[in-house]
Amino acid sequence: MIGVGKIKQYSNVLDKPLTKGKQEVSLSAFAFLFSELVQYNQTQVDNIAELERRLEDAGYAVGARVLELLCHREKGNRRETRLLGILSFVHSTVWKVLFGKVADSLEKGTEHEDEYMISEKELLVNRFISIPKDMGTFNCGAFVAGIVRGVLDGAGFPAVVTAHFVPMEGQQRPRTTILIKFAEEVLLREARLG
Amino acid sequence: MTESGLRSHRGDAWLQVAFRQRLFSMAAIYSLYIINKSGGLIYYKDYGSAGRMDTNDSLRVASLWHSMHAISQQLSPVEHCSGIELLQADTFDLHCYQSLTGTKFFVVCEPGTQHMEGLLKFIYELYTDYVLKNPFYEMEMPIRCELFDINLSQAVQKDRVALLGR
Repeated sequence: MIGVGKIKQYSNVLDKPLTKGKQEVSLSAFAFLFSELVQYNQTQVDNIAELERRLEDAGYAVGARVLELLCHREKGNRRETRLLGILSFVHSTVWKVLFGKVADSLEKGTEHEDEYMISEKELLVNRFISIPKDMGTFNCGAFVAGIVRGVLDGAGFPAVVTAHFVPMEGQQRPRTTILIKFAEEVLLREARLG
Repeated sequence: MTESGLRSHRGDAWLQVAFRQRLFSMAAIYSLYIINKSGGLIYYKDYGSAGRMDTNDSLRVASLWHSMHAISQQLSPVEHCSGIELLQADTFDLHCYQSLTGTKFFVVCEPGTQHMEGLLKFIYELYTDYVLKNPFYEMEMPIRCELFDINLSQAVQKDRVALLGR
């Protein structure tokens, strides 16, 4: 092995540079873990809305941590304070670290000023998941919606985030859209900042 | 649309129909079965018109094959025999693949069809991906997964096109 024995010894752990670490984990391992997460939560609830909420809460904890980590690692201990800045941070930086690619698209809602959408043709968490017909519009992307909510909330942009299947013309499979609806105070502040 | 454009459009449609008919008449695979480790049929798919069966018949074939497979393991003079892999009859071939967990995959196909082991292994791969990683699938129960169906039909289609090319 190259470089064995050459590792610099740091007396203080805080002096050690924060390495990027290995960038990828096994997709199968993740898929099985996520499948178990969904199955466990399914045993704890008695309706689909509750299941969605639990998955979102699980994602929220991930999001809060991811924000902390990425602000430190990628942003030199700074975080975005403007609406578009934080949205593109989620769309590109967060997505790249979590899913290995930037999200397919980031759009502003046409009907409401406070709505934004991040769309993904095939969300990584949904790669192997087929929703049974009797579960209606349930989407396991609720977990990813939770991550997004965790990041936004931690950065001071409280929002309601939901995941939806959107049928695509000429495509067999619907795409998943993460709908972000910001709280009123966020838009007021944004207007004040100009 | 111009006159010539219309004609060529019609021509395309006709070609497509002919192509599809040829695919079906050359259907290499008649049907696919997946049976769980206790012999219950958990997936059945019919391709083409030859040898179409109703639900009861397919269930019967599945449990019959399960028993025959187990008996063949016991009867075989070879030690640690893994059971029948290929059954050849006058009108069909039956290729079987048993996974380590005891789930059996088998296809009934035209006599002499090649490369069925590869296809069965690939179907097993699809099963591990789109069925076992699906949180809404209950083990040993009938498979109802949209993604599995989509990917399976693509795989079988690809196999047929490859066959046409040969």
